Amino acid sequence: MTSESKREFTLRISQANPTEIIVITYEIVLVYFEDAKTALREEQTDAFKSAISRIQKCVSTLMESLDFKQEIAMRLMELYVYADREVAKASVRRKEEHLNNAEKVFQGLLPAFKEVSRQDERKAVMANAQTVYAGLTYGKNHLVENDISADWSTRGFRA
Amino acid sequence: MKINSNMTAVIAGNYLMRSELSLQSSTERLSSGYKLNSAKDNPAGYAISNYMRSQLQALEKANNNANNGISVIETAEGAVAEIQEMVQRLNELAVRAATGTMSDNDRKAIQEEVDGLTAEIERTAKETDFNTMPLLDGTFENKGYTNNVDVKVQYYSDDTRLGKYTFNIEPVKDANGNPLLDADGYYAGYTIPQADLDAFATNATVSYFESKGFTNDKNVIVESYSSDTKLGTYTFRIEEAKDNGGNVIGYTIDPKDDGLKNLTDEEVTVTPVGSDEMLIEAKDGTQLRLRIDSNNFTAPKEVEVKLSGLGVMEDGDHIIVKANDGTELHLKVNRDAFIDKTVIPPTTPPTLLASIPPVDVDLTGIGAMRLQIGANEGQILELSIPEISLEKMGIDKLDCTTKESARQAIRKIDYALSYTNTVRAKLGAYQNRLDHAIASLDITEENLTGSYSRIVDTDMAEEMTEYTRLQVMQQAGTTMLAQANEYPQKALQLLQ
Repeated sequence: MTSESKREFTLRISQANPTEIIVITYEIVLVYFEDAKTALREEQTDAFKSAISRIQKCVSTLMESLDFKQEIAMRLMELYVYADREVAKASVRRKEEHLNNAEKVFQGLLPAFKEVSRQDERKAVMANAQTVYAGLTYGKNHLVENDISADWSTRGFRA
Repeated sequence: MKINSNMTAVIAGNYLMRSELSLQSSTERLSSGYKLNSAKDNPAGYAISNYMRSQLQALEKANNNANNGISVIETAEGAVAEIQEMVQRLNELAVRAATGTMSDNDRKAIQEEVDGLTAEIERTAKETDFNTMPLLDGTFENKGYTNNVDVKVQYYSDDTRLGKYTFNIEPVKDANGNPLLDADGYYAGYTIPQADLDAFATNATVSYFESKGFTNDKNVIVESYSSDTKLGTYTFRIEEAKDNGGNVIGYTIDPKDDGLKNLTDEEVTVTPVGSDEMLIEAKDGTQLRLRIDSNNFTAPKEVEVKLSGLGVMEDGDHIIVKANDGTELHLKVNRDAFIDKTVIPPTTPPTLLASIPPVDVDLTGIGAMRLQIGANEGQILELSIPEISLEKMGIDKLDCTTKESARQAIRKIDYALSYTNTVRAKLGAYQNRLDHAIASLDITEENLTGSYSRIVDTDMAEEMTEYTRLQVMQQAGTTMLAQANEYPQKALQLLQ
């Protein structure tokens, strides 16, 4: 997870409705799966443990966001629990296959949630967040894309 | 090249940029995600929503804790399962090393694998952690203490009644009231008198480890004996068995031996089995198998054999106290406990005390991991995660380089296997309790128990994923309700 990805995710969250947040969570966890696999291949124990911990937090958040009044929540819960267990196995056995098994759950479900999020007409959860505009100003010798995004409050200055 | 001609939008954006105050509070709202941001916005509404928020947060935290608890258990259980597989493999190796047909070179190869496995077990146990907290090093185990450095509380179950107890520890005695000694001259076993057991738990009994008889010669082992064999102490004269050509083929005992006459009134047959075993049988069901280390034993020799019906382990005993109500306590008694330490220098065989002062045992119930699994005070689950280490399991010094040491190794590994079984059963019970806790935390009364174990393998997972994917798409409306996150700050936290 690079800082650029983090900024991107932050921006998307600020505009997201409840289902879109789920989609974003899925995408975040998939990034962490990649991080974990890379750390495993390069034998970086600390990075591996940190990635595992993050994956577990993501799965935990997804579990907590389930409303069991709907039956489909049970199906999702079973899959999350399975994934959780595989991740626990991966953290103990240090084998990539368990990470892959867990990852497949999220890869399989992501397209479905994307579809649902398109149909979700609820408004963004973060009220009064800025709406993001992108504008282009152009002149004789330059073309500047103006992007009022999440960190525009500093107007690009670092201080 | 992107050209966006939505000038009104750009102007609006610039306007926003110019207004400092509204910029500030909108940034605040961005990061908190709530419409009500400070009391000045809407005082009454803020107060109410604050209260609800803390209730919700408490419930969410409780749910989070319970979910974390499940992850903790799964991580621990995964590690213990791995370790148990390795202990099974150790068992196979020790059994192979203990057969007579191996050469010492073969045993060296086995010992190398044994050493590798024990190192790996140690590593797994030490490195298993959850969120940087070590799980299997005893940090989260309920602690127990004694006032005798040679007696240790090895383990006690959650159902055991906590508190301070006094146990008299005595050597195991034979039918005549004489303490049994092992081949090195230490007491062969320890027990606790029934009066102390009754004060501890109802109908508590002491169980021993499987091993059935002793001899006064390290090179002669009682392999097994039938339940019809008369218990007691006998002296047999073990001689070399020769075939018709005068070649030594094994060991035997003269049927007219006095010891055999004490063992049984019936006619006895002694049959050498292979080059190192002997089977003593009689019509009344007596059956006794002895094994002799042919490398170190010199026949003919008189050997004293005690058949006690009880058994102990090498390197200190485990006294296991159990009762029907789930009470289970393991004490480990170091065999130095009974050495007379005033005798200097120590003698061989050691000078033993007839008794030791009563041992105070304190089962504190402190140490377990506490999870707040309800929104209210007192809704706590405690997870006591037993320590897993080579020393705790008794397999820290496994030696398979000789047949005899391999046999002792088998007994040690037996305890390790039963210990890991106990630990796994305990973790499984916790998992069940957490299932129920989570189920009751949810607004509905749905029974979630099944969901924690239904998917068992990767094929099933793939099927379920595909099935659920279709369901999600077909039932978009209910999915939006079923899986939705209205708290963006939670999602933001995932990026930390």
